[in-house]
Amino acid sequence: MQPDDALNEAALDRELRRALSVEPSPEFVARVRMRIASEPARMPWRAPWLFAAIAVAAAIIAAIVVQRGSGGPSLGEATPLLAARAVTPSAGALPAVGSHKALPDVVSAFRRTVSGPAEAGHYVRRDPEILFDPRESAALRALISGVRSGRLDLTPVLRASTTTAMDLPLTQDIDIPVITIEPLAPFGAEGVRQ
Amino acid sequence: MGLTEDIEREFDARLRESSTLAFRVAYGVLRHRQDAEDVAQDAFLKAYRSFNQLRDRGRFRAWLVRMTWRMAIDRQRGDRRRSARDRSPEGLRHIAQAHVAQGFSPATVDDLAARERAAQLWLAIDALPEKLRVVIVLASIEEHDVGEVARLLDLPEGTVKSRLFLARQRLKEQLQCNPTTR
Repeated sequence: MQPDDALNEAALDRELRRALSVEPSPEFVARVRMRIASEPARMPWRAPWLFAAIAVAAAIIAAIVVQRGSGGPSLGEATPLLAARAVTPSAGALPAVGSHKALPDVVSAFRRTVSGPAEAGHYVRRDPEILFDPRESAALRALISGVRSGRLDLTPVLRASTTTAMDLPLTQDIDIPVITIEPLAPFGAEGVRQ
Repeated sequence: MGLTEDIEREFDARLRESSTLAFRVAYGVLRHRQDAEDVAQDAFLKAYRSFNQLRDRGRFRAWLVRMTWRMAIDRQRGDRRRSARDRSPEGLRHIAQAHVAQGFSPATVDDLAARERAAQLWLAIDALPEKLRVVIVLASIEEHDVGEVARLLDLPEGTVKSRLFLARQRLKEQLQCNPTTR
């Protein structure tokens, strides 16, 4: 490096230092302190703990709400109590049940859906509601309890009501006479207007 | 609360020892006292919010310098026109003339040459690429040596040294075009 260059470099550094030797105003630090003090009451170094605590509390509250929502009454549905009972689609399996073995399932499904009026309000459902006549339900209940206790024997009823393919009368052959098409007889002179 | 008070005291100590550094870094970009104070203040506020990660002194200074630089650059870009007007030699001449009109002493007017030299120097600094600019500004603040600049910017010392050399070369070239700076 030439002496002239070194001199230039020193001069340049001096100029740079002079240009940057500015001081903030005396109240700068005080202003920063005030600004920090005016921050909403927060403890930044505790934020991770705080966030974790809030997250845990939120999870617990959510769990409680979900648990209560699935078991407890819903406010919107507690008031209107219908005279008729609702039947879930699972109860639609009733007509297909022909054996005694499947009856307890049907009864339990029936109990779930057709219980007392107070419990009907507790039942939270999302599917479209199927109305069920109370007399019909009472009759069904009596029928089921009769079958279960053995007072009623449905075997002859089932036998009488079911017609198998073997019981159907035989069909007779249908005689279809042969269709013959007679040729048309000549009809005077063709092309003559009448 | 003991722990909170300790941390508050610690942050206050950092604020006192680094306030001038942050202000000068911002001033090195903006050349406007009020804007530089505003930016430095914002940087300290951010530092306060993240102080749990910045309690180490060296880490705090480096983070503060980089954050202040970045925020000042952003501010400068957002307010380019005003900054350019204030920094131009014409702008400085206008300010000096206004001072004379307001009855400032002739010594202040004599200071115009130095002001113009400074204006030329700032124009030359502004013409540098950002990588070179930050190195030369930091090296000129508080007599930081190469090692300290390297720590502040989280760069290898060799990189800082070569950038510093390049920056000086370019500044000299720029200033040699203007005889008022010699």
